[in-house]
Amino acid sequence: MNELTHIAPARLPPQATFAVRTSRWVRQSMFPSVGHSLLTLVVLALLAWCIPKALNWLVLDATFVGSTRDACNPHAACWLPVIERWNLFVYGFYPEAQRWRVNLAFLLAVGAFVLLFFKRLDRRALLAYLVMLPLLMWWLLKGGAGLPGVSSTQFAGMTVTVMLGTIGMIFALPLGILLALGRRSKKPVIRLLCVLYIELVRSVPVISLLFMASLMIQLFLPPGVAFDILLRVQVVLILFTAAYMAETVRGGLQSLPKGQYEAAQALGFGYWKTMGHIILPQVLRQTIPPLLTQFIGLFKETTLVMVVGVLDIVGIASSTAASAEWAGHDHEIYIFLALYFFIICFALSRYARHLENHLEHDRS
Amino acid sequence: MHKVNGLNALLKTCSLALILFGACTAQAGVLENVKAHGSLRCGVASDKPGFSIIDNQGRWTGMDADLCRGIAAAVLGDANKVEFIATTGKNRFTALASGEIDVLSRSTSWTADRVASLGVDFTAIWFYDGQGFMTHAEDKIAKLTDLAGATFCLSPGTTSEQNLADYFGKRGLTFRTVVIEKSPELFAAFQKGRCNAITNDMSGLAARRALFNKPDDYPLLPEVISKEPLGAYVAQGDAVWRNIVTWTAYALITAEELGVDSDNVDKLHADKTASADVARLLGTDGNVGKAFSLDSDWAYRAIKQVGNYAQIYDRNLGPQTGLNFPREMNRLWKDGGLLYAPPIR
Amino acid sequence: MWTQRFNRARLLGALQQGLVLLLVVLVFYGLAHNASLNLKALNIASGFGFLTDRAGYDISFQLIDYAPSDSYGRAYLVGLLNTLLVSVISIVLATLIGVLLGVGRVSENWLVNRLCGMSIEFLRNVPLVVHLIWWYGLMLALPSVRQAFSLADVFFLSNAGLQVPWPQQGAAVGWGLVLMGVGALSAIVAFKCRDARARWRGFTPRRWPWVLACALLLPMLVYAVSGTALHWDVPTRQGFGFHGGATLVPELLALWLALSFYSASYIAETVRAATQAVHRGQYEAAKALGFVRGIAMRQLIAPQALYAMVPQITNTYMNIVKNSSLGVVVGFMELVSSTGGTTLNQTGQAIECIVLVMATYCVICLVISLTMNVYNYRISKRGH
Repeated sequence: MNELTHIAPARLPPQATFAVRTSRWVRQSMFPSVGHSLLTLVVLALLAWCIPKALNWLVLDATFVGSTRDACNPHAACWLPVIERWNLFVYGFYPEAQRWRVNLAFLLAVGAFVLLFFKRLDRRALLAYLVMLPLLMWWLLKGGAGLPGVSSTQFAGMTVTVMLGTIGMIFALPLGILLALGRRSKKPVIRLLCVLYIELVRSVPVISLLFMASLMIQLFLPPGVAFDILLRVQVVLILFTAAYMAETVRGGLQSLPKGQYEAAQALGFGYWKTMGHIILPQVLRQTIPPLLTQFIGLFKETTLVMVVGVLDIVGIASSTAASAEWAGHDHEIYIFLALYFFIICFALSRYARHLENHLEHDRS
Repeated sequence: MHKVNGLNALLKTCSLALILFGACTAQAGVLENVKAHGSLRCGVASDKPGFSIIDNQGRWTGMDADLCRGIAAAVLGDANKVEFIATTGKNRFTALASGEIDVLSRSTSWTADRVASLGVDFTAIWFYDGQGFMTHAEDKIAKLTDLAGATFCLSPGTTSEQNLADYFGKRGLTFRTVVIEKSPELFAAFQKGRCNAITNDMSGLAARRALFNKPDDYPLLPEVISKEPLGAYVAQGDAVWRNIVTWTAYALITAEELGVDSDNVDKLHADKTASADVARLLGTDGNVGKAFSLDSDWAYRAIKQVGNYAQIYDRNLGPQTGLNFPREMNRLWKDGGLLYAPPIR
Repeated sequence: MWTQRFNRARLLGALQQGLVLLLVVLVFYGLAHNASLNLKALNIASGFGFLTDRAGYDISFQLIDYAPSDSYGRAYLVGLLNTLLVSVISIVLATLIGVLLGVGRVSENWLVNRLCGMSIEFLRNVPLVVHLIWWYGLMLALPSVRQAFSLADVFFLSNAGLQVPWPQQGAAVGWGLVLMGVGALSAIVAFKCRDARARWRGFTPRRWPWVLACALLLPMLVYAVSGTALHWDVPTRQGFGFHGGATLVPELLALWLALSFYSASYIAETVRAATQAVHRGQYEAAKALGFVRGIAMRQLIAPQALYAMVPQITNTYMNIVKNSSLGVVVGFMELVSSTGGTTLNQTGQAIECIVLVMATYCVICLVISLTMNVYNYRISKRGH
């Protein structure tokens, strides 16, 4: 073995120069055949045509400084509506003195994703964090118990988007696990109920569920009881995500070798003990990447709440586009929205893929 | 064995939940709820310039928003104790009837049908409006019937959809519609020529038109095909609350009529020689406020904190706002308009 | 001892299930009770009787005749057909774009590969609502009716939509469609009979060109023989817009394009994953056998990848159908904005309208998943 590694480098051809390597790479990966060469040229021409234009409009000629729409350059993007209303976009109507709480809540939410990264972390610590996170976030945002109370009508913009996404995901997780277990239960009534729930929710559009939250739920509550719209929307998003999550978890349950169940049974474990100590920890570790992907989906779905009048970041954007101050700058506002979602979702999807690769690596 | 324990626990939680529900159902009047809650929950639109919209600082501005501030000042003593809740054309009445909001101030027309079948009550007319039409100058439309066969932009869930169908149907004319909920998209669709005309309440059209780059390219038709008395709605079945909302609006209008504004209200309030009408309005004479289950200073606070009708109008629709919507019908009755508040005595 | 324990366990199990069932029934009963109280208090009617009432609102795009004087039931039907239409055309376009992007993503051309990768990431990481608003903005930015782009004065594209010629005679078109179906079916049957022989010879010929040809030729032949030439109704400029032909309104176009591009990114990812999942050995074997890369892709990799893709693609297709409900954002009158929107608004019967909409989607999704299961079963039988 040692001998081989000594001999191998000696037999390699001399290192090609950088220029030679580059030109070889360009030839192989961009001009391997006539067809590909043509394709490459066309694509290059297209890029050369549109990139400078886009760059000029978006950045070089764009307006970044000013306070009214008179300051805008009419022939390029005007980012003033976003800059002037940055606080509104991020914090909504949250009282200025209390905004550190929103920041802290954001940080805590980000922390949950960071923690997933540490493989050696104690499972119970992670679980405790995830259980505490929605409660902490809710306490921070809403106040009470030492913090001045803030009405949920003050929530808007990114605060709402992040809150709906994070709290929705974390509450949906246990519900989804229960539904998945119920679907694989040996008791016919429970199985049937779970299957019905999962399949019904999965086959209707989110918008119809949101309309349900906005127009129907009140009719089913005892007279005089009312939840605010934000809470109703949050509940609907949780119930909706749980159904999808149940399917993800079920996939994980099915992929687990039967031996695991049998071993647990041989040890004399009961149902919940088997699940809690042996099966679920393995399943959840495996399903972290697909669950993250699901979170991205949920995060994007939260934008639909603007259809029922909740002022999430899209609602604020829409109101800004309608305002007397910034009428006529809707393109910039929506481009900003697209970028905002792209950055967050792209980062998360990369992260999910990274975790997935790690898992693959561990398994092999 | 622990399965049975689990079930027991489940049953316990369920009964607890039921008790909690029971506690919630103890009903009280809206006034008591508002006072207990410490703020007024006011349903508004989130994209109506001049009526209710968010400014750069995240403050709600507009005629409708200020009416809610006036009510909050009268009831709670502080015009800032309002929680604005954005509603859509679709869910506004459900939100009100279910008690999610205390008052709906969203440029909503008073119609018999709504009062009869939606479980809501109208209060006072806050703004006289009518359904108008805006067209493209290049189409050279002189009157509404020229628009036969044209495409109209309109927003859903409004009376304008039915009015239009009635007007054209009666004359045997055809038309097409583009129905969009969000007002920026709706007006963009019109401005770019997707529709030949846009129809809405005159105030909404004029406010938007003022924001266009070249307003003269988009003339308003002289015809107004409907009466749209706009104002606040409350849920049915609470006369006390309905009176409070109604008479706060009237108090603000009366204040303009009597020349009371936020600047001179303190002086008049202390002035023992003020006219009997002013004294009754400001609660220094009589006890109207008591009869409304409020204190005698209710109107004084509302005027002091949000101003009288003229001040509210100027602040939201006046020349310096860029909207510059003429008052016309919304002048006081003695100036030739329709604003006519019943006497406060 | 054992039977005793067994019985006890069974009894406990049954008890547990009975309790859960009872709880569910109780909750539902409570909800229904509340609803009936609330509806009475609000003076809202219940039941589906409203479906026969006059709707009174206009629908800007319809596949069957509809006027404001028609019933809510008819408006529901128009909305349903619009949902189905936009779903079907979006599924077709999304599949096309998705496969193109996916194949580009595994291309050996570095530039194309990266560009497709970037497009996929961008398309899928931006919410559909934003896509939709953006596409609608683009549609509105098209020239107005007066300056409409025209292709040979037959097709017109403006911000009032895309005007296309449309066959005039309703009955003739119907028969044409029937004949097309007959042609395609007979071709398929003919192939079925030939297949057994073909398999003997060790290869299966490409079938779809023949099926397509038969489907098109048969109606043409019948038209030619019977002399009932098909009249095309060509759009012409008139009044405020166009007269004649058919109009694809911009709301439909925006929803179609937004749905297609958004969903295409998912299909592209599925295609990429499936192609890469096909074992590397397969490529090497193909290379060793002297296959050109393109042919290897078509003949060897694609069939295997296809099999791996079906479940994911089914999901995406169902999502397209469900996401078509976003038409409400740009005012395209599909199921959710007609029955779940204006009808609900005008009648106030929220429960009935929302339940009707949801039930319809359930049925559509059920049909799709059944169809795809059948397809999956067939290719699993045909392939390996």
